[in-house]
Amino acid sequence: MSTLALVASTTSASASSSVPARLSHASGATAHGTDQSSFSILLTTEDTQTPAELQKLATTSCKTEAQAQPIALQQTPSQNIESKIQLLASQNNLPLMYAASNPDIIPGGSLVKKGDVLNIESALNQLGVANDMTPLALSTTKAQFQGGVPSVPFQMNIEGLFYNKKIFANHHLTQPKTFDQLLADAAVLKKAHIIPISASGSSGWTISRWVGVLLFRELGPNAMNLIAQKKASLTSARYMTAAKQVAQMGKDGYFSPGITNLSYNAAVAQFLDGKSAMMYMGTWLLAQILSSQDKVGRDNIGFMPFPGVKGGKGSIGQYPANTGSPNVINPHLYGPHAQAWLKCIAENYGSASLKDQGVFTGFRTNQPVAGLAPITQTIQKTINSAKQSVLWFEALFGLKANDDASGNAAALVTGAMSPQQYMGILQADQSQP
Amino acid sequence: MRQVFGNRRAIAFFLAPALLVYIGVIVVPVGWSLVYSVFTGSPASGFAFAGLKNFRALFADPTIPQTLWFTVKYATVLTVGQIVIGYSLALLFKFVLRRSSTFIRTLVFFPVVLPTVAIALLFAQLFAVTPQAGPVDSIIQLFGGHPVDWFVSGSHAFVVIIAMDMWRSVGLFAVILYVGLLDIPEEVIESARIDGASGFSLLRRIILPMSRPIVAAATIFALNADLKVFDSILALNNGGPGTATTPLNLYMFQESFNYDNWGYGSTIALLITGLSLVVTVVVFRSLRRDITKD
Repeated sequence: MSTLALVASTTSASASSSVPARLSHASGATAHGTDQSSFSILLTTEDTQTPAELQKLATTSCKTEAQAQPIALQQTPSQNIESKIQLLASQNNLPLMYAASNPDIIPGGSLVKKGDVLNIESALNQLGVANDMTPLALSTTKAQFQGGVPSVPFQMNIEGLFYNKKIFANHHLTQPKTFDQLLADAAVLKKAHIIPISASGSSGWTISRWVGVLLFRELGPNAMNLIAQKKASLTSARYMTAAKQVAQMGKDGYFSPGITNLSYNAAVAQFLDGKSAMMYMGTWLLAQILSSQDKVGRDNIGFMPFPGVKGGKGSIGQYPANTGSPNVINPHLYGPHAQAWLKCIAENYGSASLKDQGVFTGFRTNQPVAGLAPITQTIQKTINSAKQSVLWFEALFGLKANDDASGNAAALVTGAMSPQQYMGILQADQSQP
Repeated sequence: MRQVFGNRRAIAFFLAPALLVYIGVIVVPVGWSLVYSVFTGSPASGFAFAGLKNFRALFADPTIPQTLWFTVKYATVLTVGQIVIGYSLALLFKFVLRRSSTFIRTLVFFPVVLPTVAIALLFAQLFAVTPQAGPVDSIIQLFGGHPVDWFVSGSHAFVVIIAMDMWRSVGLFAVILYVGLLDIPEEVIESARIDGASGFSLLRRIILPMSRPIVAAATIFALNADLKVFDSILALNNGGPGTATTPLNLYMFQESFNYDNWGYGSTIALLITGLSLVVTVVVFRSLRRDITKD
């Protein structure tokens, strides 16, 4: 982060005076726009990987593109990004690449309707690099954005349980295959005064994902689609079970103590410092595991799929997957220089990201990367062998339900809110027109 | 002078700049917000006329009574604390410490100049339970108590919020009320003392009645500021857990800018404006008594 030059891009975006006529498209615009003098980017402050990798590409594989259109980066905390994007969009002042919220960029979303979202699939096709986006990334993106491909797949994450191999071995525990086994393991760890599971209350999605993945295991991969299509209710008994199970885990003391105000970084540090045994997380955690923050030692950290549920319709091989936080290209500024950038990214980003950060992306690794850590190899094999991906709990939620799922998750596991109240709030949010 | 103020052109000339600024930064945005309250949408998606839909939603929204109750509870408790503690400190400065109070006044006023976000982060650490127990929990454990998760419930978090905002703001009210006490003529106090008034009777019969205008002003000032609490809670715990410590202002912000409901957010803003207006009138009327009638 500190190496990144933070250049205000919004002012330079306003320099682009000739905005071409808008073309609306069901899943994103394909119009060619007018180049800016810089490759203006607005991302979330929390996204440290994408800017770092783009800056590195600008000095290596994409040097020519960067000389023609240098990167101008601006970052904003994720909490404020939505309001900033809304304001910039209303002023026709969006940068070339920007982070956006899912509901705004799905087909029919406000930014798509405005013609501010480039159809990445079409763009890659036009550039002749469609094959550089992996089929898993394409199918996951389409599932994530209800058929559209509005986002550049800077990441290809699957979610599961990271665990501390040393702690597991010391307590004679093996990878649980069922949820009941997982609870039994957690009970053993709790008795041994080890925090079984790290999670953060201030980043409540680290808790709510447990509800989601349990729903997928119990009700099958279609569980959350039925909610989005209003064909099922989160307050029905079969959906309520998952919330009750997670609330019970909280009651049994399986999550981090003092979870309510525990930050994401503190929860991750708790796991990487060896103070807890497990953490449900996406494979974006690899970057931190492979960095110096990992006190446990990268070889002592394992990754396993979330276990199955006895009699459930879902299976252990269905991994929640995503292509990272959405990064959209503004078609109005998508001129020849920007096209050259996108082509270069498609051809080089996959290998560079895996080599530099150990992070998987939705792009093919066109250059072989040697010397990968065992944990990276395990996850690479898992991604390659994944037969079916599912979305995550909040993927199809609106903005309010998304916030409430995360914001109330700590209350669910501390008993401050009942499972009925928790699911009731989310269902009410979803029922709003 | 009489000629100048009798001249309408002169009045317009002197008032116009201030009036224009006032209209530009207060009246126009308030009017604009009022108009938004009958629309739905956001700047990116565009706005559509919605009639009274937002007002109906306001009455049907279960979060509104909760946030309204929290706002009123917070403002009442904090204002009482600010005025009582602030007045006590002012009395201490004026009658006990006297001329040597400068250093203590500076110390008490110091938190007022600190950034709110820094104070919120400081209190989050003071009351932390993990990863390391903060000073408060360490003291509790030192005396054999069990660690307390101060952010686990609304009632626990309320204690932290009040402690934080009291520490942050009480210095300001102490100084305002101290200035009010300085305005009471020494001769009046001396005469009362000669007449035999001292201690509590001096306070009740002379100091309190004569400082009523400044107490009234401070109360209105405190209540209105407290009803509009936003940044300290946002930075401390974002109104959590859930919406248990979410004030109306924070809820309005979330609806407007996080969920793109600009129209509904404006309707909540209207509710806050109405609430502030009612509270101001009530406080003003209850404290606006002629001190000569006592």
